[in-house]
Amino acid sequence: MQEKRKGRPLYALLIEHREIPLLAVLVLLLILVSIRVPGYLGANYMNILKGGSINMVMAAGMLCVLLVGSIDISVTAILAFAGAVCGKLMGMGVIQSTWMMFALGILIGAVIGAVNGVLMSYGKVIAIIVTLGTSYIVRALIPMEWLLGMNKVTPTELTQGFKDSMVTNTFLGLPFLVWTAIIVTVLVGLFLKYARTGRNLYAVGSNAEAAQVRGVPIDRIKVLAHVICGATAGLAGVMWLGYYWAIEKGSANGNEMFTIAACVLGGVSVTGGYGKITGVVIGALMIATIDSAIPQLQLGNSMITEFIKGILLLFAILLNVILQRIADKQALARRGI
Amino acid sequence: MKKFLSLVLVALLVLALTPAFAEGDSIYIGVVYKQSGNPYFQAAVTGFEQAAAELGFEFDHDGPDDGSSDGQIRIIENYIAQGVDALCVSANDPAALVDVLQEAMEEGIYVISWDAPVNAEGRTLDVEPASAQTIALTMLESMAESIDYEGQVAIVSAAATMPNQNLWISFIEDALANDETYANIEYVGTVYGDDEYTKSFDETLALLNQYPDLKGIITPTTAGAPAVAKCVQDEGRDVKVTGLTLASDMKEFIDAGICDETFLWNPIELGYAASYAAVALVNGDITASVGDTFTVPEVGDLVVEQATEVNENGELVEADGTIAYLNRLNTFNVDTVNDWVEIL
Repeated sequence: MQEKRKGRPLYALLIEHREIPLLAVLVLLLILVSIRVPGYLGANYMNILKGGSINMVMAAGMLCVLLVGSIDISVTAILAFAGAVCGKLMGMGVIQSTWMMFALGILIGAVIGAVNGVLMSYGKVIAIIVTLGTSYIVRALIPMEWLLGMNKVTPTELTQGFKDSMVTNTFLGLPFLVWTAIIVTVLVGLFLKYARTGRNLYAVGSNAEAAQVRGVPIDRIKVLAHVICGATAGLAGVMWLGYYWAIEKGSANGNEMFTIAACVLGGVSVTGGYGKITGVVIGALMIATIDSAIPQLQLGNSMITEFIKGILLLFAILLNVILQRIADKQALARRGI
Repeated sequence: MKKFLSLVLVALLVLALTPAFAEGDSIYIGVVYKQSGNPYFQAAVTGFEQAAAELGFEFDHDGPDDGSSDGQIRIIENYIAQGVDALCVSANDPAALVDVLQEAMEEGIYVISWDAPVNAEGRTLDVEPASAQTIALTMLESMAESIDYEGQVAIVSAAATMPNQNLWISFIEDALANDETYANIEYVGTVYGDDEYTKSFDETLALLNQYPDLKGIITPTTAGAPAVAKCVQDEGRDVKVTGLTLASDMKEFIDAGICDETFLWNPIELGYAASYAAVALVNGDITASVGDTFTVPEVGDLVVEQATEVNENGELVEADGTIAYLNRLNTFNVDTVNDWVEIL
């Protein structure tokens, strides 16, 4: 095996590991930023990791739904809803334990994800419409003043233990916020690579009919993918609350596009069947880098920074596509096609 | 069920109140706020209650469940039918209520907008907590005191397009440039968090990285303030934060010493002053023309001024209608913040 690899040309490596060109784009981006802001990476690597953690957790779940050829744009609504409910319950004294917060957040997310999945696969409604609907419903339910009092969670409602849980508490120098993202990433990665059900996600996404013939329960797999996505979004809600100590109706509104962008940047196919967790990690890091770097580039007002953000995103994805196309072409040429 | 119940209750209330006003000759005021159940407006109602006890008027208060203009219009129509003498309205939309309020004014009802103004053609007088200048200079003075009138100061604002914030910032910039008191304060600039938590957080982080000697951040937006304070705390920097904030958002950071003081207006005083304005108008003591004054106990003499607005160039220019400012802000510090966390 080792010997076989040795003789393989670079392009083959690039085809097998599509995240390599992406990594090159990330490095290029960091170099560009460092030219303008000397010492940028040294001062900011922790902020990039912290800032990217919540998006990474959601992107890991998003990867699962994208793999089965579905999509979920309700993730940030689930984030806000799960975070708000958990935070309010803590404020009311119902929950005291940090672990319970995480368990409940994941549960709430999984339930909403299951609703998404069932409506989408058994109700035969297009995923983007289903999740658009649930995202509106879920966000509308957030104020719940009749049940929870004020329509946002403030730091005073949280226990000190929970407030310390994400940023203050560290292990091997990394805050738990980052560790949570690492654990979720590794779990999803292992699941997709080694579990039979995980591999079935690819099968359903790349060729649903063939998968069905092989006896894969397509609908159930799709529901499962949405449950995983919802669960990660619910977890992200509790992480958000632990990081920022505040959550409200509009929290993270619109950020679902950056979750999807992290996946797409990472080479995940939006039509299903192709995508790797390693690519998503690099995609999420890239978005976190752009978010962290833009304010430091001192470009002036916010209209210009948003413009630059769009340019950087397009630049990253175009470069990635071009590098891949070159690699694909060479591979075809090698095979004499 | 809840809607039905409240309908029945409103119906009962109307039945109970109508005869009273057919007979009595005391002043009857209808108070309309943005949304029912909101603690901010519940606090304001206690201001109306206090004034009612002192001045001997009667009032009723209501706001739509959903915070809509339609709901407010229905409530106002009800009040008109009941024959109120004055309406005190915190508008969900400055333009949407104009028609119904003009109808009210034709019936001889005085319309006082408070907290959130109605356009000039739909009101008799607007009562607001503080002028732009008062807000700006209060924040600046507090910041200066926190940092001993020395060091670098930055501003984290809402969006770059927001006229209120931009006006306050221009007053702050002007004072920093021209007032000798602030000669040793170096203003390093304004960044915009767009009232989004994460963006405000990232922008603050960048400020802290860029200016290692930064001493203070003024954040004139309630949405951005908690993000700014949390970022300063996470970074463990000795930077003071002040601004316009809610008490509940900032208690944590006031207790932690990151904020010495933060500010917002006092909804109780605002309701109280609006009542005094309404009664002064009904009694004919004032006509809501420029230069009129009326006294609000504890608050002081309020002067009716020409309203102002910000034009396209960010300058303060005269606008239609008249306005009276309380020019008092509520200070939250370690001693007072606990009294306000449930309200603001």
